[in-house]
Amino acid sequence: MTMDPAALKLKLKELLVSGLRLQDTEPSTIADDQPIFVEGLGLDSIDALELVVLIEEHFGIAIPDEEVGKSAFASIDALAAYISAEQARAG
Amino acid sequence: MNGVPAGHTAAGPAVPVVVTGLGTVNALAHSTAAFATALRAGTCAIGPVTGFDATGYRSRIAAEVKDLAIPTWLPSPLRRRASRSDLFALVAAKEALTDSRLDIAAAPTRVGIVLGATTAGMMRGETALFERIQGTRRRYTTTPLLGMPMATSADLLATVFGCEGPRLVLSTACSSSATALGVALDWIRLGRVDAVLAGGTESMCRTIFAGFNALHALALEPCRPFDRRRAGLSLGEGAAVLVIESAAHAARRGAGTHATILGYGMSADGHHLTAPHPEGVGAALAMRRALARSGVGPADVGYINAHGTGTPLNDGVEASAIRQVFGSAADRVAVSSTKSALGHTLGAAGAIEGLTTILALRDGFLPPTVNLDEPDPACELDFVPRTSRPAELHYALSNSYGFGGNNTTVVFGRA
Amino acid sequence: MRDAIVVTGVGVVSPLGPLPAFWSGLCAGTSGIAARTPQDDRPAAPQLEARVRDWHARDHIRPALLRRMDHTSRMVVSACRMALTDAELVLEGARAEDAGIVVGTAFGNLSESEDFLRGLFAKGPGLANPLTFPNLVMNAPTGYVAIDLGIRGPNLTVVRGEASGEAALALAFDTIAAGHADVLLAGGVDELTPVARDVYSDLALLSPGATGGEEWSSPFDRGRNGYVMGEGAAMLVLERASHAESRGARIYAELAGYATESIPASPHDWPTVAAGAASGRATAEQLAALGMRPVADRDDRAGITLVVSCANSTRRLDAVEAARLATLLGAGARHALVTSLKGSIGELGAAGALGAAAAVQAIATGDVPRLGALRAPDPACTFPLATRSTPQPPGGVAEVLLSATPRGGGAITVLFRRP
Repeated sequence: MTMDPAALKLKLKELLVSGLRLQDTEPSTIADDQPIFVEGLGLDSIDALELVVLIEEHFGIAIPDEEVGKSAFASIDALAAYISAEQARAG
Repeated sequence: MNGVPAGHTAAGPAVPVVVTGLGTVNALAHSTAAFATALRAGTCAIGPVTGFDATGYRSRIAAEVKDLAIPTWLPSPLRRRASRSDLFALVAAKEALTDSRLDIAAAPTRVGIVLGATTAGMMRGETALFERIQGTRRRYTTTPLLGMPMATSADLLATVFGCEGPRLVLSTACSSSATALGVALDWIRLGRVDAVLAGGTESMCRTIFAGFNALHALALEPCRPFDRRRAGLSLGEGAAVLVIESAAHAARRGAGTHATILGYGMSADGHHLTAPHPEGVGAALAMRRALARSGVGPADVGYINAHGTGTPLNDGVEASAIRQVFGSAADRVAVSSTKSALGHTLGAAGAIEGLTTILALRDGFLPPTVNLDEPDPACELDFVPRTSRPAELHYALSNSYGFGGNNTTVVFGRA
Repeated sequence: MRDAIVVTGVGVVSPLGPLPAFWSGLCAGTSGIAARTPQDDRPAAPQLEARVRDWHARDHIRPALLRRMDHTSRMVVSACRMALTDAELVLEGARAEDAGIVVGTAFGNLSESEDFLRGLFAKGPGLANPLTFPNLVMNAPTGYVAIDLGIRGPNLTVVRGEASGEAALALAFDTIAAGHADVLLAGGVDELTPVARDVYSDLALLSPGATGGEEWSSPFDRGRNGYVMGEGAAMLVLERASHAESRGARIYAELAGYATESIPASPHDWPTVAAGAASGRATAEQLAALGMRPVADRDDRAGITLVVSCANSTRRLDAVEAARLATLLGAGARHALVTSLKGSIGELGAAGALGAAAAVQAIATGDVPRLGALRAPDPACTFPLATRSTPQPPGGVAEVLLSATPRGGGAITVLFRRP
């Protein structure tokens, strides 16, 4: 059961904003290819851990270790690609 | 009569203060004598969690207090309401008072209580709270929740032991009971009291266990402080209570002393809520302040009981801070983490580890860092790996660093 | 020469609003209690609460830090910033390195603890929230203050139930007196939560309690029937007088010290009224040692003694306080005025911090908080109460006592006086 890529990316942006409490950020203003964990959004290691939990809760997909996490969280594009790939593997 | 004399005299090292009673309950032992033996033996009490169902948690080990007999000397209504952490505190306090032979009834308003804690009665309160949140029952009893506010621990001790002096509970995460020992020292030097039951208590609960697991802060195997392969901390539980007393008061009643307590220093990192300042600014400040207030120099210090949780970040930062403060004297001071033996006891850590530091001074030995198989070359200090050693010590430090970047160092001296 | 400890700034987040509205509201006896928004209530749940107003955390705290902070931390950081602005004190360099903070709270961040627990039991430990967990320690607010202001001095959090505010002031006093810092922010915070409301309702402490009558908050009232819950934070800037004078600071009042008294009580309950009546003398002796002249010798032209009592509109505590204060004030009661803030701001563990903010305002302005909801005073109150018809004392307010008589019987009384 995979989502349409555009819808998936929007959902991920909404999850980022609500789950990481980015109150002043509009989900639509997050660019697909923008780095998530660099200056722009000001996220840190605890945010990364929280994102792992949110992904598992909302998509049922685990991020097994820090290395996978680093590449999956590089951008919304990267995260969406990771989730789609994992869903395809499982499905 | 209580009260600060008119004119605010700043406390100074001129007023000697001593420790005349020791009491502890922890995963290694239920008494101080047994604790000292276990420390020397390098026993590790970290193992699979049995106090609650740990299914589903990433790390499932901890150092738990097991098979503690509920004290028969406790009046039954209080026994019913006392939470697990209250029980630890009561047993430890009883041992310390018996050890010190302090006659509280002779001047009850001159005996105070300061405790450190973080979870208090959460273990029993969790299920009760959850039922309320979910609305799963028609009626709720409040007894499980009565022990939840941590202020009640001090009130319980005051009632049971008849202390009528000031009482306080500090909650600054992992530095809570280190600061409690320091506040006791200040109270005595300010003339408020002659003696204080000072310590800390902590009991395992699912909230803490889940939270540290969620932060990936718990090692999957028993923690290895200062080890190259260290992978996180191990949680523990227990309590320690010290009878801290003005030396003059102790001498007048012919009390034996275990050690002196000279001073303490506090600081905040002002950096991050869980990660330490990468350059150990706060840790170094706390040590410097403690030494300055105690009139002790780095060259006089023979042992540091480190905070040493075993997390990749803390241990490196702490070692670096020690180097900053001690300079070349760092080559001649032994540093060990007893969290390797009995886990990180959070709010009780400062008191339990303060007690450990006192045993080292009194009995002339260095408690080892258990599980330290490959010392991290980046840390470069004598961490007393695996095996305890005899040592003639004159002064020793105990470090405790808490969430919020909250740092306290206490300085003890041989009696 | 004595280097007193003085108050140079005050910051408040309260059900009456920030400091100016807080103080004018208290003097007018205005109530900050209002109907709350019911949410999944149990039947017969109390409908009133005192919620903070006219405050936006984003006006005080930068967004990057704000997003992670819980409600109690936001209130504390905001109050600290307002207090420092009020004190015209900028903490930087060496001053920042040495400055510290002491906060008292009864429950800390209980609302996020509830959320965390809800998640834990509903979704299992594997999905517990790492973002929330660090906020659950009682010292999260002081941790955030250190991060926001860059202060590296003592960082202390105390927990003493209903006396948490007074306990924080007491510890701040001792911490400065012992020489750990020359400047400390000191105060307290507590928030509203549904679970705490349920628990206190079950303990029959909330109005209308077991009587099922009108729901209201009126300390010392003959018809009182329980308390209404409130929330808020107040922070004071405390300094050594020499430090304040060297920078030309305006000094509100002196924090002269505090007294402690152990009243026999069960660890989970208030003392009996008889025990309350038998107490007070030990406190009076300690206050005398701090230089407080006997109230009986007072001349009103030189200023009255104001007592901000912890009385919270429960049958029990207010009766205990009435008995205790009668003993404490003794024959001098006619030169005192006794009041409580809880008709205006509700009951919260850190109420003493808001009491401290009111205390220094009383000394600085000469006016007093009034029991605006009072209909008929309890005859057990043998001392003057500050009511709507009480005029501003002609000689002003010379000193203020914060009287805290918490469950467990460990009473604290804090003394403020004219600088």
